[in-house]
Amino acid sequence: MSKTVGPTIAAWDGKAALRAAGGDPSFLAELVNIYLKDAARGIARIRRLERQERFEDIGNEAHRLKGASLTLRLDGLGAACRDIEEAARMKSAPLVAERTALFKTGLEAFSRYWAGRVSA
Amino acid sequence: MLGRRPSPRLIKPNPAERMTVLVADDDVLAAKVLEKTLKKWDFDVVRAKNGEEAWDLIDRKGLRLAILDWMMPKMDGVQLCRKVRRKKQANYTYIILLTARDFFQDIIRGLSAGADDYMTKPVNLLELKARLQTGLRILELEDKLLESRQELKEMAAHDSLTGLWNRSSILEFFEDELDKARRERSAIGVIMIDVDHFKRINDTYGHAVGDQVLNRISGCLKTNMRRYNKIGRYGGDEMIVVLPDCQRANLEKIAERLRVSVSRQRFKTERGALRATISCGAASSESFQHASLRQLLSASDKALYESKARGRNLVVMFKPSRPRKRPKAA
Repeated sequence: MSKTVGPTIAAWDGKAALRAAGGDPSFLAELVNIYLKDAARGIARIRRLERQERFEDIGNEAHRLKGASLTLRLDGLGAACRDIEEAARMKSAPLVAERTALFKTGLEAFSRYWAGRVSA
Repeated sequence: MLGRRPSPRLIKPNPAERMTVLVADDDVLAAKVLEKTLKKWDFDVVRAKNGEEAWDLIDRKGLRLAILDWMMPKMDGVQLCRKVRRKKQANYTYIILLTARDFFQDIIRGLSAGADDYMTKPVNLLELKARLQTGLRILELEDKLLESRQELKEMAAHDSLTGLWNRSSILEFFEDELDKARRERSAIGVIMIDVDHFKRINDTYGHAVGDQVLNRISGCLKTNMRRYNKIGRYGGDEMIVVLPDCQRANLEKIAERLRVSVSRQRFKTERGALRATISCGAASSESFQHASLRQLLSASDKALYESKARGRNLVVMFKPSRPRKRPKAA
């Protein structure tokens, strides 16, 4: 079951994610924390690569983030990464920037949701 | 929940040893999930962050199960599959390729590159378990195949009665060692052995007893040889011993030791313990300027003939005849 944690892009299937983590909530928490840090670094990397117009590297980075998002069953964020990949294939810097911003919004929404869940 | 369900056991080719699985993925999360899950299933796990690291691990450690991501830095999963398949390695590596790609053409590309199986991300762990089971079954079949191939190879190279190398194998070994001796300018020796009055043993006690005597003598000779010497059955009751890196003086001593060891033994047979002796003819490559296999065999055969002519149970060393002196011109 999918839970909307802000914009639709940040929709998260927490139960499926827990299943993927072998049913271990603390392992899932470890994975989510790694993901949040890694995705934030990924966004910064994509922005730098976009300024250098290194579209192939942008595609690879977006692909990696897509895999990580799908592993955590963050399907909306995974789809956003796929859109960045596509923009990179089109070699369109403005489209990469726009779609990366969208991914960032979704990531921040999920991050807030996660922080709230942890503090609760 | 999946993790709490009792999971079916994975049957590994050799249950006594934990199998190591390579997980190659630059996506830390996917790699971590796989690692934890595989460990829960009693596998050992090694991880690689890119294709080059993965290749290094497969090459160095000979890993037999690998889960490779398609897209990785430095070398992608498909390139890695090709590289693994090109390498002539002793054991097969079963490869499962993981990817977010699921286009039909990609599946064909991945499998054509040498992947054995294919899974799309995110990985369904129950499906992974079933696919690993398939991989383990294939590795188990491969192990059995290699084992029986090795057995056949052994059988084809050995004499079934004595367990010694057969004629073609011992001659092949001799030829190789002779080449090596030429390259390294070292000496090589050969001893041709014949069981004395073997026909009489056969005629008196029957062929079954004759076979038993031959078998026991072979065993006795084997236990009295250096590990790096080889003995083979040359035909009938004749055997040859090839002695790499062995000089003439030592060759004679070894031949004598073999002769004495046989003469002191009583060989158990179904008709009681019997005594037997051997005659030995030995030749060293030092006796020739450029020794060939044929020359050495012929020389040791001549020496063996002389040993028999001189009363048997004897070692005779081949001595090259001295070149005739030319008469001085008047």
